[in-house]
Amino acid sequence: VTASVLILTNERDLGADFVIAELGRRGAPVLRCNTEHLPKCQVELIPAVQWTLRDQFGRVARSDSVRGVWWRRPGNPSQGWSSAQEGQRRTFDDQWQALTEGLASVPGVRWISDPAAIRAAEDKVLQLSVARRVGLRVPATIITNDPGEARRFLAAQGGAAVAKTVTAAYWDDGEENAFVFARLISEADLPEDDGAFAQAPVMLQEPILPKCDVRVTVIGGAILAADTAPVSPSEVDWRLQPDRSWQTYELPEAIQVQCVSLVKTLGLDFGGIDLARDAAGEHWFLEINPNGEWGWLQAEARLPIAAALADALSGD
Amino acid sequence: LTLVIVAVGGGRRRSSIASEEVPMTEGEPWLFSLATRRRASRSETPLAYDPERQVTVAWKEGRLVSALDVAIPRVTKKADIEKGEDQKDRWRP
Repeated sequence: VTASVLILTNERDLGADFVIAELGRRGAPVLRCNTEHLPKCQVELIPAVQWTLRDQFGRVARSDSVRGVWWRRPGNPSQGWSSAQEGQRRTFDDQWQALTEGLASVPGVRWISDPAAIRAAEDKVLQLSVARRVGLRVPATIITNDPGEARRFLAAQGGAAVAKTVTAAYWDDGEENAFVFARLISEADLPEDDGAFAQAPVMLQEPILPKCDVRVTVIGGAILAADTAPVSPSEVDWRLQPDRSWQTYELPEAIQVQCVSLVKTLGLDFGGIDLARDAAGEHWFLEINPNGEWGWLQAEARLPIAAALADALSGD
Repeated sequence: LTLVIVAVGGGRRRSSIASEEVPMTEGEPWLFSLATRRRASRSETPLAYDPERQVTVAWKEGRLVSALDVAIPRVTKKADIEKGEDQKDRWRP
């Protein structure tokens, strides 16, 4: 059986499981390629003409029969290569990444989303610029490593601001791992040593408080929204409050139009958009996740996101 | 059925949420002081990948079922918290 949908992902991704289950209910043949195992597969690409991917179990996907490809967090092919040095590992992964991204050069197949567009849209500065351009409200924002500018910004915001990283910040040395979530800070949180602040830039934003968080999932023209109330009013990053409950939310039509426009302008076919709804009912853009998670929204708020993705991938 | 045991329970970050906080190191950029730090630990919840069904599975009452039947919503919600790990471990982005 030749696949009509190709999913490029990793073995641990449960989001892919949701969509595969949905496609299975429809009888649509799907090939899930966990790209950490790509060296066990056979891939051929004639740029801009055609491609074929055969996995280690004999399943086949071809550009002339696949209707949709989901670029869903592919894994690193070097994961099984324990003896490699870091530089070799990166080079090895880069070769495979260039090939798999190159599959998007072949016309006639819908990609969710184009890998190059996903990478570009991870840039928070670009996100804020495009959000403002399509008419979404954007909190006052500064990115700086100048402690004087940071203090002036905090004062202008009434003494408090939300501190974020300019791009996702995570590290893991085996013994310890760390992630920088968004935090509400005041001037008292800034270091006495200006040099410590100057070592790395930080994004400071006008706090939208109190707020309700709204997550808008856009898939092509489909819009699925849910909202949640904070457990603690001072906690600005909902990921630190996993016990929050989410429910379906009817997003105002004007905001729907702006969200779809944002996703399209960024060249995406999928976007998980984080908005804050303030006490006056106004919606503020916080960020867009070009390949964000949504499984908990499907499970808790009963948003039919897997079905919408299956529709888009299979051309239904 | 051939099963390949994968990094379990949604990964290090998820399983580490309940772990011990680690103090910041002196001399680091101030930005790093905003980080949530944990000592790495592993979940004891075994999940496996079923290459035939192309989905993650788990043992439930003596049989293999879709992990979505036993791990949702906990895993997928925590998976978002793992975003940082995903961006480190996976291909860009």
